[in-house]
Amino acid sequence: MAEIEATRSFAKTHESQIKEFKYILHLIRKSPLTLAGLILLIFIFLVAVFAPWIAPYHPTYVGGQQYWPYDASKMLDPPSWQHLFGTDDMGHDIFSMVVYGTREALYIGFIVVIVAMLIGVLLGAYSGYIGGWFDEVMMRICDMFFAFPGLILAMAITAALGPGLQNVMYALMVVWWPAYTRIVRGQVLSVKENQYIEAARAVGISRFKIIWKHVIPNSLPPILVQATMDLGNVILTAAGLAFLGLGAAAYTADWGVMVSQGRSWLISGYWWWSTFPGLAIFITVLAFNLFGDGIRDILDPRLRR
Amino acid sequence: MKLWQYIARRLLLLLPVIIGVTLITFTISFVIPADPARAWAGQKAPPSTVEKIREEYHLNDPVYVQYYYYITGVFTGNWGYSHSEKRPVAQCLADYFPATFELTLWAMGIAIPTGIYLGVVSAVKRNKIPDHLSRIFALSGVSMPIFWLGLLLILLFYTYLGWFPASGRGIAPAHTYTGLYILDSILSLDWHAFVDDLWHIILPSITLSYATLAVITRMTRSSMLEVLRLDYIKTAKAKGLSDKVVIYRHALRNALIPTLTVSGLAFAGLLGGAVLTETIFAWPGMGRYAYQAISTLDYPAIMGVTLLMAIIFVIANLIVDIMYAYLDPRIKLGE
Repeated sequence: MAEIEATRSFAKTHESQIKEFKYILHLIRKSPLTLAGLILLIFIFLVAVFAPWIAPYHPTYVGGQQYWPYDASKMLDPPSWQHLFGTDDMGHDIFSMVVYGTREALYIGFIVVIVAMLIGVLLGAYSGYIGGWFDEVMMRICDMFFAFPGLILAMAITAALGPGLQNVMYALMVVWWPAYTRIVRGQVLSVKENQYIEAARAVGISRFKIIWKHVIPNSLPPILVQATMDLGNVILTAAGLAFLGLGAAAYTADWGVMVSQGRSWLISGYWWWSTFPGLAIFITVLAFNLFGDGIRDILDPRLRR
Repeated sequence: MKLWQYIARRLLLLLPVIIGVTLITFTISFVIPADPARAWAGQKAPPSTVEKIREEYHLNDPVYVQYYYYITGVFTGNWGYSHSEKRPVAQCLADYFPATFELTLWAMGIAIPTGIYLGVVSAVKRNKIPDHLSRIFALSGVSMPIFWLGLLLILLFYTYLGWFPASGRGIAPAHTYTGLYILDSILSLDWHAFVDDLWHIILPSITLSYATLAVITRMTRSSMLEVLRLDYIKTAKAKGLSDKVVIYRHALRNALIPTLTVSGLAFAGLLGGAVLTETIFAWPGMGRYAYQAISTLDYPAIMGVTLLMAIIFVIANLIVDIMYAYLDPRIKLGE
């Protein structure tokens, strides 16, 4: 009885949010491209979670290094029922590697975006709220980073740190944090002018508390939209770095590495090694873009007409 | 403020940006774990030689002194020594720059008109089949790994159909004037080289253009949609002007301004994409140089390409800003 009472009061106090949420769901249902993106994303997440059940072959790990079962007699076999996406030049099953690669792609995307977002929220919120010299210095530092094409800067940093998945992720975080800092700062500048912030200040709430309890939660929606689109971009850039030989080791379940390794065989007509992992990158990034694009339009009231 | 004053001011503001860029590249070179003196001297060199190099290149000095030498080097054209090519980095960059420039020019030449056209069609036929098709085409462009697209094009047009070559820039024209092969072959009336070079640039420039094309299509579509709702468009239609005139003369002109800004930003993607595209098509530009430098751990080369690409990007954005100010008189210059 008490539980029902609690749900009821939750429904009551959050009535407007629930209504808004239902309205957003309704808009998603009405936008076929957004819906397509959402369905693709759910599919990709399911593949990542259930990879061990979907893939017919599994890697073993020796000292952190991934090893796949191989069969030298099945070198570069074209796609068949036994090997859906064919095999590579060691006889590894490409389908299994692509399936497991989903986990790595999502792992890179989420870790990089979350870290960049945290740094951005922290620095951007303080920059926008405090203003003054701190803000000025922060923005000039961001400008320095914006002067570089993203992939080029990430390439230079990864090359300096040495190739490897960890270093690719560090480099991408370095490349991505300024964008969030700037968006959050802009948001904070506009949120700060609201009366409820003034009210909070008037009743003597500390600056730290105002930023964390009032400013940041109210500036989140556009940041989350940006993050959705960036998940795709980060995966794409990471794949580019892997293709340039800066990512994971050869013969690991990394889409970029697989495209790169299959490249020299592709010209002679062994198309499957590069094609399927590349398709996986494409579909994943497309899914994030479709969904992010749609959500942005939906959350932006100006575009709701 | 007059336009030339604005340009002068922006040029002056370029300096701190470039200094900022060098601060980052300098910091990155500082992270590099390898001992640069050892790298230059070679593995077998005695410690005394390494020490001599260390002295000569100021590697024993404090960081800010090293930065001073670094930045004077940058401004005087001393960009370090590329050990994979066994010559100064600046020389390599000067050699490889025209190839990259030619490729990006062609990619821009494909992306801008096609992107604007698709964007306009998309906006005019909003929510109809052409709009859906062009939106899917554009979203695919921003989602597609550029290296994968390049490989698919090679597979189809080189391996299976044999229509286009898959690597290199083609025959060098008889005379070199600009370093741009196709322009040079026209200038030196070298018909044979012209055809060959044109054939070579088609696949790489299409590959490189797709992402930019997609960005331009999307921007043109959304800014056209904004403009088409405005009253002056209704007036123009009410006056009895044909759709073509209304769309291309009245609407597009104003819709193009945001597109212009976005093409400046998209230039970054083009430079990054050039590294991948050049790697796939063995196009002898700065991107391929960077790729080879990565595999030989030629750090001065990598940092040189990074620095130069950042400078090019900054200048490209400056040009866009100036065009922007020129095209839209409403914009208060300098603010």
